[in-house]
Amino acid sequence: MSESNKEPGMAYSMPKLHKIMAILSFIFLVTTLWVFLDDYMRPWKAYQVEALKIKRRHLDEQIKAAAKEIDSTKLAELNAKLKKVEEIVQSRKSDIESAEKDLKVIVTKFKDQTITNGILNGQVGAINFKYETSLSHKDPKAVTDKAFNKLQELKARFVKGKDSLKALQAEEKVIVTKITEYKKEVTRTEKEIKEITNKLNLLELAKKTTTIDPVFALRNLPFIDFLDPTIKIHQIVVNNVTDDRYFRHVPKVDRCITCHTFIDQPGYEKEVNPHKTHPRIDQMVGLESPHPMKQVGCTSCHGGEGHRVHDFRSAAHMPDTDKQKAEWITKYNWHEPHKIQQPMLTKSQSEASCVKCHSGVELIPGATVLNEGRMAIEKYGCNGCHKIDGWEHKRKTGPSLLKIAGKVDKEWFKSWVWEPKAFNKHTKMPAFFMQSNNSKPEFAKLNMAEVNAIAEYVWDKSKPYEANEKYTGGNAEKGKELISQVGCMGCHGVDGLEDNSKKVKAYAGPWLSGLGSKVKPDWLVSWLKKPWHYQEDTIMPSMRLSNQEANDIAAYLLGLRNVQFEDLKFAKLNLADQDRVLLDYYTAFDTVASAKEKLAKMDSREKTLELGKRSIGKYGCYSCHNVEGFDGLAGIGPELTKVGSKPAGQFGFGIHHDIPHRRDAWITAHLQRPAMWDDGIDKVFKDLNKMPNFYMSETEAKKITVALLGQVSDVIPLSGVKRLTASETMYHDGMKVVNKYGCTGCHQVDGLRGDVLNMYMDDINQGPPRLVGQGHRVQTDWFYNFLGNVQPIRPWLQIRMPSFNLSTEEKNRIVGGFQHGSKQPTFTEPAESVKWIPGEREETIKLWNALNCVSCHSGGFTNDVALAPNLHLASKRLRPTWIKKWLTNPQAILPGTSMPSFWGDDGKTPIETGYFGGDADKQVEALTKYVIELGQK
Amino acid sequence: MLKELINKIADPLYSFPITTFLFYLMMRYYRIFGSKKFGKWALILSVPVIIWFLADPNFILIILFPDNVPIAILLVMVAFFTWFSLHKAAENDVRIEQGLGPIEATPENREKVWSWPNLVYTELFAIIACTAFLVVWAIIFKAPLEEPANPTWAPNPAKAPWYFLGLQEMLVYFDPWMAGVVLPGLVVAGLIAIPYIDTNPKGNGYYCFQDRKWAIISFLYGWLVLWVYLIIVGVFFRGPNWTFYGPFEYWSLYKIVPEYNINLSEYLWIKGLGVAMPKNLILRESLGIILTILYVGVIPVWAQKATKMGRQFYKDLGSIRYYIFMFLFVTMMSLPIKMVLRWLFSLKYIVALPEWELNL
Amino acid sequence: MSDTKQSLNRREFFSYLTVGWVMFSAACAGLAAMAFRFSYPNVNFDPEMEFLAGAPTDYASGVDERYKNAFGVWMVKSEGKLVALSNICTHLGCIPTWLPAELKFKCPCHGSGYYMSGINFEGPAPRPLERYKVSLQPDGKIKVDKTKVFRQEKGEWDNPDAYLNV
Repeated sequence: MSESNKEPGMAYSMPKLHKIMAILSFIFLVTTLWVFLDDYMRPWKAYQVEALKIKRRHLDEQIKAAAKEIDSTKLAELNAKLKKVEEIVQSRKSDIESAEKDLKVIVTKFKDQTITNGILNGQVGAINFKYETSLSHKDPKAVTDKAFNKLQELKARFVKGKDSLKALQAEEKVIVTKITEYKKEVTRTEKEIKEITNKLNLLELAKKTTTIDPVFALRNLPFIDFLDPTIKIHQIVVNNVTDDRYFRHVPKVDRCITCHTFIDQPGYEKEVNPHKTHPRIDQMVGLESPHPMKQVGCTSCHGGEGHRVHDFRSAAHMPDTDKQKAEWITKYNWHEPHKIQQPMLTKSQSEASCVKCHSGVELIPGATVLNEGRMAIEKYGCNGCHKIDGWEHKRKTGPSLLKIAGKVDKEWFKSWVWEPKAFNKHTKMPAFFMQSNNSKPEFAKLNMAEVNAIAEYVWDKSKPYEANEKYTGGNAEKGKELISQVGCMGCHGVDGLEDNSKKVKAYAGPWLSGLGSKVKPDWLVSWLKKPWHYQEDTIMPSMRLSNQEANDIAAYLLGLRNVQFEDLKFAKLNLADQDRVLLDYYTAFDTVASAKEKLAKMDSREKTLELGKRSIGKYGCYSCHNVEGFDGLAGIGPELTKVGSKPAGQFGFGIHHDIPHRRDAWITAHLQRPAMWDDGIDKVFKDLNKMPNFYMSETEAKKITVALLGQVSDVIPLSGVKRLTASETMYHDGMKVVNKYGCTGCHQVDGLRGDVLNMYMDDINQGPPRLVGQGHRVQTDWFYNFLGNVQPIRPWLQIRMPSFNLSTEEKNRIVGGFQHGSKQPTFTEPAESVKWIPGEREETIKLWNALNCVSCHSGGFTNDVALAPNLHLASKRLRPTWIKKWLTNPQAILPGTSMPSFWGDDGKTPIETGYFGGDADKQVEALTKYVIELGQK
Repeated sequence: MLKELINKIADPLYSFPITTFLFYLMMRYYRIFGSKKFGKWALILSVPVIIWFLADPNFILIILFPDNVPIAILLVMVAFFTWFSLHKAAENDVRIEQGLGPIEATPENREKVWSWPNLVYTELFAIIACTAFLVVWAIIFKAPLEEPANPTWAPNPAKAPWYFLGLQEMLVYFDPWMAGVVLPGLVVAGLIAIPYIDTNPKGNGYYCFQDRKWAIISFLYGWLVLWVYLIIVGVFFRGPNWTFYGPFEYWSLYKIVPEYNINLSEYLWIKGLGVAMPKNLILRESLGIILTILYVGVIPVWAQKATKMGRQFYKDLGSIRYYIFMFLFVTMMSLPIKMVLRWLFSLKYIVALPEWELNL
Repeated sequence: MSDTKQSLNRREFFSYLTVGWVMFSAACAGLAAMAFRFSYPNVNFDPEMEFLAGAPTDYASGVDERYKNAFGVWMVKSEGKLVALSNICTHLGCIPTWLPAELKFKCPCHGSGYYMSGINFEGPAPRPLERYKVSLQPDGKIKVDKTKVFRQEKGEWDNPDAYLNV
C-alpha cells in the first residue's frame, strides 16, 4: 500500500508491524493458556475433591466415636503409671547404659566374625575346587595331599568361625533380653496405652491424608501433576474378562472408580451417588464377596464405556426411569448416547449380565429379575420358535395334539385357535388372529380358511383315543375342596379359587377354566387318574386319587362352563379362500397359471389337508405342540442366542419413531404387541408379521427383556466365567429335571421358588416341605425308591406329593443332583447296628421320655394323631449325620418349623440338663442312635 | 413451499444447468458482478438467506457436522475471492481500455521493498494467526470420540474429506478408474502443463479479464462449476447410500431413488435392434468406440479447420500445444456431457468393457 | 528500527516489539511444555503395588505364603513382629522357595539361603531379603505398600514402617 510517511524499501511502517505482532502474540499466548486449562480442568476432578471432603466428614465422625470409646480415667491412670515407671527405669539408667555398651561391642564382634566367615566360606570353596580338580586330573599325590590338608584346615577354621558366630548371637540375645528386662515396665505400660489409643491415632493419621494443604495443591498443579498427583484417574484392569475390539480381545479397563470413589468401601451407604457404597456389597464388589471388584471390574456387570473418564456422559450412563432421565437432563445435560453400541444397562437391567458368566444353570440365586424373566420365557415357550442356545432341553409348552380328537371336538378347537382368550382369560396360548395387522376383512377370511384347514389336518392325523375310566358323577363341592387342598394349585390356577391362584402364580400347568365346555367327562376322569395314558410325555403327575376323589374333582371342573364360548359357531371353510391361500404358496416359484393348474388337479379334501399342513408350518404350531408330520423342524422365529449384542440399527422400528431406537426399548415394545411393526405398512397377506400376541403386561415384558439382554455374543475367557465343579454340574443337571416337572412349584429348593407356599403363609408347616440340603438329608436309595413309589411321610399334611411318571434316567439325575449338590460323596450313610456304651441306652430312654418325642411322633407308639413323621422310618430314610444336625438346631435348617429346639439357639444349651451331664453333643448322639435303632428292630 | 422448491432444484439434474447458466451470466456481465455495489448488496442480502437456511433443523445438522465446518468457511472464501478477482480484473480492464495500463503497473506499485520485514514478518503474522485459529478450533470442535472402530461396518454415508468430495461425486457418473485415477491425473497433469501450453504473453502480474478471456473462462468453469459445485453437492446434497437429499430434507435411511442405468451397447443391441449382445467385445462396443474416437480425435481437428476460434488457437499455439490443449479441454467437457447423458437417458457407460477393466 | 537512539528507556523496553516477541516465545514454550506433559501418561498399567493383607490375627507364627503368587510377598510372623518380606533374591533376582522342614528360604538358581527373618546366611546372596512397608488401617486390616522398601544392611529394618508389633 502506498503511503507517503513510510521509509524507502518499506511497504509498511515498522511500529505498526510491531503493534500487530504484539496483538497477535498476545492472542496466541491466551490460546496456549486456554489449551492448558482445557486439558487440566476436567469434570471428573470435581468428583474426587468432593469425595475427599466426604471422607473427611466420615473420618471426623469416626474420630469422635473413637474418642468417646476411650476411657479417659483409665488413660489418665495409665499415663500417671507411665510417669512412675519411667522413673523406675530411669533409676536403672547406668545398668542400661552399660548393657547397651556391651551390646555395641558384641554387635561389632558379630559383624567382624561375619566378614571372617564370609572370607573363609569363599576360601573353602576355592580350595575344595582345587582339591577335587587335582583328584580328577590324577595329579601327583603330594599336590593332592597338600590341597586336602589345606582344605581340612580351612574347614576346621570355618566350623570354628560359625561356632563363634553362634556364641556371639547367643551372647547378644542375653544382653538384649537383659535390656528388655530393665525396660519392661515402660514397654508394657506404653503397650497398654497404645491399645487404648491406637484406633484414634490411626484415624487421625488417615484424616491427615485428606487435608487440602500446599503439598496437595503442588502435587495437583497443572503440568506438575505428571509426577505424583493425588487427584488422578484410578483404574481396574480385569484380565479375566475381555472386551471385543473386533478381531482382538483386550482385558477390560474400568475407570469408573475415578468418580465412584467409595463403591467398594462399606460405610458410605447413605451418601449420594457417585460417592455411595455398592448395594449388597457382601454379594458384589466387596473384598470377601463372590465378585470382588478387582477381579470382575464394573462394566462386566453394568456395561457401558468403562474406559472413558471425561464426564458423566462419557460412560454412557442410562437412566432407569423417566423421572431419573429428566433429572439427568437438567443436571448433566444428558442425552441418548447415539454412537455407543452397548450403552450401560439401567439399574433394573444389570442382572442381565449374570447370564454370560453363569451359564448351564436354571436359576441364579439372588438374580430375582433375571430369574423371573427366564421363568416367563419358559412359561410362554419363546424358545420354541426362537432358538436359544442352552435351552434345547426344555419341553414344548403346549399339550400334544397327537390324540386331540379324543379330548375335544373340532368346533371347540377352531374357536379356540381363533381366539384363545375368549375361552380362557389366563391362557398362555397366544393369539395369532384378529391382530392389528390381520384384522382387515379380506385377511380375516383368509385366516378363517387357514384355521379350518388346520383343524382338518390335525383331526386327520389324530390317533384314536379311548378313555381309561368312566365318569360316574361326583360332589362338586367336595371336588373344589380337594383341588385346593390336595396340591393341584402348585401347577394350576383354577376358576373359583382365584385368590389362592393369584398368590401362587403357577404356570407349569394351564389355568383350569370352562372345562365343562371343552373336554369329555370320561376323558377328564381318565386323565386325572393316569395322565400319561393320554399323553406319554406329559409332566402332569398322578395324585393317587381314589375313584370317588377323581369323580368329585371332575364334577367340579366339568361344572365350570363358558356358555358364551359354547355358542360360538366357526365359519365354514370357504373353498375360494382356501384356494387363494394355497395359490400364494404355489406361486412362490411357479407362475400363477401353472399353480392354478396344479390346484385344479387336487381334490377338495387334498387341498384342505395341504393348506392345513402349510398353515401349521407357517404359524409354527409344532414349536409348542406335538403334531404329526413336523418332527425335528426348527422354529420359525429368529435365533435369540445373541440378541443382546444385535446392533441397534438392525432392529426395524417401522413408523414408530416415538420408541427410543435402542435394543431394550424395541424388545419391550415387541413383546407387548408384536404386530406393531406392521403398522402403517402396506403388506400382502403372505408377508404379514406372524408372531402372535401374548398380551403381556409391561412389567412382564421388561423382565423378559432383561433376560434377553443377557444373551450376548461376548466371549468370556475360561478364567473369568463361573466354571461349575463336577458336583455343581450334577446338581444343576438334576435341577433341570426338577424344573421340568415343576417340583419347584411346590417345593422351595435351597431358597428358590416354592410358589405354592404362598398359600400357606399362616403356617408354613401345612405346605409341602422345603428342601434344604436335600442330598444330605435323605439316603439316595430311599430317595430313588420314593420317587417311583410315593408313600406319605408327613401324616398331618393334606397336600400330597404327586406320583410323577419319571424315567429311570430322570430319577437318577434328580437323586444324583441333590446328592452332589449337598456334597455327599456316598450314596448312603450305612447305619450299622447301633452299639451302646454301657448305661447309655437306659439314660437315652429317660431323656426320650423327658422330651416327650412321642407326643408328636406318635406313629408306631400310640394311637394319637400324628403331628410329626413316623420315626420308625427314619433309619432307612434319613442320614444319621443329618439327624444330628436337625436335632441340634431345627430352625437353622427350616425356619418356622414346628419341631422344637431342645438345645437352644446355639445348639449347645440343653433344656434337659439332667442327662448325660448336660452335654448337648452326647444327648444328640444318644437320641440319634435310639431313632436309628427304632427303625432296625 | 419455498423449501420444497429448493429441495427439488438442488438435484444436480436441475442445479447443474442452473449453475452453468449462472456461470455464463457471471462471465458475460463480469463488470457488474465485480462492482463494489454488487458485492455489497450480495453480502447484505446473503445474511438473511443464510440465517434462513441455518434455521432449518435438517440443514443445521449438516453444517454443524464437524467434518463440514472447514468447507463452510472455505466456500465463503471462494465466493469472496472470486468476486475480488473479478472486481480487480474489471478495474484493470477499464483502465486498459482507457489506455492507462493496469494498476499494478503504476510507478508506486513498481517500487521494490525489503523482503524482511515486509514479506517475512507478515508471513509470521499469518502463521501465528493461523496457529491461534486452529488451536481455538481444536479446543471448541474436539475430535469426536465414537464407538471402538469396527472394520466390518462402514458408516452411512461414508464421505471422503471435502477436498475429495468432488471426485466422489464424479464417481456417480464415471467408472472408478476414470473418475478416481485418469481424470484427476489429467487434472493435475493439465494444471502442470498450463505454463507450457499457454503462450499468451498478456496478463502477467496484473488482474485482467479481457486479455486472458478464454483461459480465465475455461479455468473458472472447471474450478467453480466442475469442482467447487460438485463439492457442494457432495457435502450438502448427498446423504445415506449416496442418495440425493435436498438441503432441507431429513436424511431418512429408507429413501430410495430409482436408478437403473443402461449401457450404450445395451441400448443399441437389446433395446434398439432387439438382438442378443454380440460375443465379440469390439463389435459389441463398436458404437461407443466410434463415438469416443470421434469425440476425442475428430472434434479437435474439425474445430481447427471449421471454426474461427479453433483456427485462431491453432495459429497461436502451434500444432502440438493446440492438440494437447484440445485433448485436455475435450476431456474436461466430457464430465458435464456424461452427467447430462446420465440424467436424460440413464446412460451408464458409453464403452463398457469390464473384461478389460475399461469403462468410459 | 524506527529509532536511531542507542539508550533504551523503560517505555521503549516495553515497546510492542519486546512485548510481542516475549509473548510469542512464551506461547511457543508453553506449547512445547504441553507436548512434554503429554508424553507422561495419566494412567499407567503397572501391576498393583499396594494391597490389603487381612488382619494380624489371620496369621499363625511363621511364614505365610498366601500372597506369594499374587503379590510376591511373604508375611512372616515371629518374635512379636509381623513383616512383609520381598520374594526377590538379592543375588540375581530369582524367586526363592520356602522350605518349612529346614526353616529357610532357598533360591533355586544359585543356592542363596535366608533365615526366616530374611537374613542371608549361605550362598552368593550379598544381603538380606528386603522388607516392604506395612501399616495398619483404622479398620484393623494390614496394608502392604511395595513402593517403599527397607534394607537391613542400611539399618532400615528398625524403621517402624518396616514391621508391625503383634
